[in-house]
Amino acid sequence: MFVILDADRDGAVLLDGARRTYRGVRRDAGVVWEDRSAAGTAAMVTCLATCPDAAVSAGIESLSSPAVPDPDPAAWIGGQLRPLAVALAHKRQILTASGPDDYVLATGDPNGGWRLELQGRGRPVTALAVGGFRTSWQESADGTHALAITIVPGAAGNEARWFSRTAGAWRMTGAMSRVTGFLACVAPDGSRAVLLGQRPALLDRAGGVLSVTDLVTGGACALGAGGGLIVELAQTGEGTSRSRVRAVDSTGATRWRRDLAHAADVVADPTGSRVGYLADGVLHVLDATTGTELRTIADVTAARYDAAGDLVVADRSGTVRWLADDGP
Amino acid sequence: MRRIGRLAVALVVLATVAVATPARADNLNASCSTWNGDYYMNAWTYYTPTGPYHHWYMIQYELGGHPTGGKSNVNFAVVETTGVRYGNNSPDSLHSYQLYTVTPPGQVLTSQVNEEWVRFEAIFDKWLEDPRCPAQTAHL
Repeated sequence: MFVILDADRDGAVLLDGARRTYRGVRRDAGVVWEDRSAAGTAAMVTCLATCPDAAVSAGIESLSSPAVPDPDPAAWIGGQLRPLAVALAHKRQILTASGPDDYVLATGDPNGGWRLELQGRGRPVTALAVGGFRTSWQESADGTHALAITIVPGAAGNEARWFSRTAGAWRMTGAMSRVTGFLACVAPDGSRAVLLGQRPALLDRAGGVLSVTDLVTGGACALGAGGGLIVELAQTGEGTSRSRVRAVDSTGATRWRRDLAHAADVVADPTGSRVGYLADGVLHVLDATTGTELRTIADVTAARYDAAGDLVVADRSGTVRWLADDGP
Repeated sequence: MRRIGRLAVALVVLATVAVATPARADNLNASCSTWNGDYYMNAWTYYTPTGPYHHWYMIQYELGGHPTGGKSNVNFAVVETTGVRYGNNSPDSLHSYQLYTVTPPGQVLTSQVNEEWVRFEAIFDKWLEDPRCPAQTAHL
């Protein structure tokens, strides 16, 4: 089992489930780092300016409870693991980072409250109070727009905040809005996002929410320039998997659908109209609008598009490849 | 931890929402059925992958079969190879042919490094003895 935790045109970070390790892979040089300790604690990983340089922070135990402190954040840079000079705090999860002095941090403690800290290179820290210790962060493909959703247990909804990156720093744009979901995928132009963990919906930058598809709930999604895919992921008590894939256009209209008897992941090309779903070891690449199958790629265990529109795939041996020629 | 405890209690009281629906499957396709086929349960778990985790955020189940006394139970647990990540025991008041939805409070995460699954047990309210049936999802 492999999961591509992050990837760009230069490299990728891969979770190798069988060997219980994280692996940093450079496109032109192969494996440049390996981190069993981070995999052992199921740490979060986010690439810095170029993959596989990456920040490593938090872990499954600290993400599961406000009372458990985060471990010290660190970063793999040039194949070397270094501590990250982040101020001491109970919680210190790196949500995104382009370098050791340019990051967004989810921090705070149960008594003093929770906040996001926006640290730009050579700039003072901007702190935003938020309603919970756990925030998800999803960026547009070019890294200039992001949606942060803070889980607020017991409240009327979770907190959704949009951010834009200008002049090398993140800043919040617009007002906070309430959503039911806790994860999302952001359109390549940053204009909207699909909300997951709830009935699938499009969230625009003004906080407007439009329900989409016939799915009960959204489990994964990917938005490209020409449309996107949303998939409902369910396991049944009779020991089977079920995935319901829906293609949506920019208005939220459903263009086509597939119901599968396997767990599935979805991908979308941020530069074009290609989308894909990965099920039972085969990646099906389709036209987002028509559903026409353009290509199938066998022996794929994990996949995603990078910002340039190249497919990044891992095979059964864990070898990561970039497929530049992906058909029409 | 105290906050989590309160939320767990609130879950039992508030987050187990019953919505009347027709049965969605007969016991030939049930998640489990009792030894004599008189009672069955169907169950579904919904998850989302996020980084190295699966986040389990909604569990649904329904009971069916012969009439019961209206005090059946369903207990379930989200499990990975290192142990139980979340457990939930229903109120002692479940009826048949209703779809029940449980939304766990906060985050229920399992690590994709481990095997992960959800196990269920239905206990049907019947006079003299309460038949049971166990079920579980495939391992992710």
